[in-house]
Amino acid sequence: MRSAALALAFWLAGAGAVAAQTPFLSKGWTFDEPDGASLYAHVCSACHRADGEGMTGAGTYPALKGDPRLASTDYLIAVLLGGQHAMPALGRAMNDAQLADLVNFVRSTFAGENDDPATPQRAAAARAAFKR
Amino acid sequence: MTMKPPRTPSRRQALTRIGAVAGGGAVYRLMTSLGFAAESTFRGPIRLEGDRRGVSVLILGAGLAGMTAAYELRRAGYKVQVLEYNGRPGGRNWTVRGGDTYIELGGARQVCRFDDGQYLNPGPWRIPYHHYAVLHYCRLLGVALEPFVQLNHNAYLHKPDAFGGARQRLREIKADYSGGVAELLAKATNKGALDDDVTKQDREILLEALRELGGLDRDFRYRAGPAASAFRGYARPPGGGLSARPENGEPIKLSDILTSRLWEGLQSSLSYDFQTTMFQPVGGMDRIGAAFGRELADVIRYNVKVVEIAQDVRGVEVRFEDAGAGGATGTARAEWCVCTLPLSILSRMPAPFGASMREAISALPYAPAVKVGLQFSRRFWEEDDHIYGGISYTDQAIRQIGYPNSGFNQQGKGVLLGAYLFGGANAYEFTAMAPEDRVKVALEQGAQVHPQYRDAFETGFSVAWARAPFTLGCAADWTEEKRAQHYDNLCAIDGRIALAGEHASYIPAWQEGAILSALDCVQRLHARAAAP
Repeated sequence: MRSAALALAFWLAGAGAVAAQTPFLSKGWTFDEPDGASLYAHVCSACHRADGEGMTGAGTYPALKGDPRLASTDYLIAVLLGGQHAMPALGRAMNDAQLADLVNFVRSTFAGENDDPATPQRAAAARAAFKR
Repeated sequence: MTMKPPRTPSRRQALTRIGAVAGGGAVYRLMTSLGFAAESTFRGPIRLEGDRRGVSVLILGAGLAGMTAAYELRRAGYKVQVLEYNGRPGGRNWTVRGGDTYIELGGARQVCRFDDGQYLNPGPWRIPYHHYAVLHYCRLLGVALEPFVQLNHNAYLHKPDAFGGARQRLREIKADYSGGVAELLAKATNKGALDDDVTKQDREILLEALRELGGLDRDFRYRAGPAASAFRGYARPPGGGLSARPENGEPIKLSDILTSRLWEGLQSSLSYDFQTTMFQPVGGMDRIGAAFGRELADVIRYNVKVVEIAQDVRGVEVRFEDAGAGGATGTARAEWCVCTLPLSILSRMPAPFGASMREAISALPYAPAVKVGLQFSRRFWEEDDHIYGGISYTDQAIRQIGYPNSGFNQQGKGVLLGAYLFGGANAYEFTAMAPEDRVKVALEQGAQVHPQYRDAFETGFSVAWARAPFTLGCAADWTEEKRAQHYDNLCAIDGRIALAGEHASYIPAWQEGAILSALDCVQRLHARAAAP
């Protein structure tokens, strides 16, 4: 294990430890977090980091910060409802209000985008389209 | 998958839910359709006929799939080379012991403080008797096995909102559920409600079977008495001398069991994947990876990170970074390549696959899973609760408490599996926590089942698989639709590269799937390499 730790220390060097979150636990199978900020903190940050910089080991969880695709509200809704690569379709375990608020939080926090906000109605329409 | 709406939860969770409404037949059908209950196709060691001396194969990943491929190809005369990101063999086949250091993605660093002889298997921890390929290689490589106790009748079932939060012995829930249902069925039979479905001759036999298997009395009632106690145990067990006379306990009412839903905890040990006999390697699951690693010591290169894969008609070229050489890049070439990198890693790597393969690689979400190991100063579950191995179930986030399956009935310390989350909201939420918070929550919730946690806890360790730097996830999360669309493409040989791993199997998240996919892969690669 020592050599493994050395290797990891090498690859992870420079990446400061992620700030710890106060634990939050949903009651059931779906997410109970009340808003976008808490959804990001207790779910998304598991892979994209609290600061949106993503994480890299043998592979990479992409950074959200600076991703030009965040300009599109519809893009983010689609990723959350359809998943992307290894990312599960986490938006399916959120209700429309949660989904919309998370999209707005991520766009605002990591791309400075506040126009064209997601709404629960828009999330619902996208969800219906996904169900086919 | 992990994060679908509540109506389509992850496989393992789905089994519990479906069992809730549809009974065993439906569960079995579902398991089969999800690739769960399929019997291993392993029928003995493979034979790669013909001389391939000197033909080169590059294998990416020294997990069980990669090492199986390397082992078999080398035996057939191929020149093999394995590249591994970690500094150890095994991949997800992994055991954590005292002194081990682990840095997860995000930078949190843990040093395991377990005592000598104590360990946690953060990944696979049990081997079904019908995982023939795993058992074959254990035999071949001299890995000693011991029983893994899946079902312990004396373990607990617990829900904070059932029976006032009081833990219940699995044995009593199981016996009283069976007895209650048998009584109902006997009643229906005697009322003639089943006359259209059961012949008169069979009716007598049915009643006899219900009585004998359900613990009913002479009048086909399930109630306190010797027949019920024979299954559910005693309020005061039989003894010797003047204190000998047993006392029968009062069964729990069927309606209380039904509404409590504690019967959900009875399901796993009934299902094919978890029936007796199950095994674990003596000393830790990583004994398997270590044994492969010893065999292949001269062909595995550790601490190298694959960053790009390229191929042309003549062969494969892989670019890597070598942590041992300060991150210097290097290349490895071979005529063929077996790639066992998890798709969570491969899908974001420059790699030269055709469209259908590329789509398949990008189509699979990875499920999160979390385990927490807790060391205690004494084995209170044995000393106080008389639980020797097995698993208690709770519907708190931690889901399970797994007891050590060795070192029984001795004084001393022990490590419990204090949490095992697989999919669902809580698995993400646990992953997002700092490692010490995962331990803290496991302690708080576990203490609802075992109050002794508070006094006896010493040290903990947690692994959240989505933050494991070498996998970025626990396992590929297949659905029926995805299998129909992508599975054959994922397993096809693309030019000079073939994929192997649990993701390329119908037994996902199990070591057997990884090994079987490697065996299937090298046989097809061998045939392809022989073709003119």
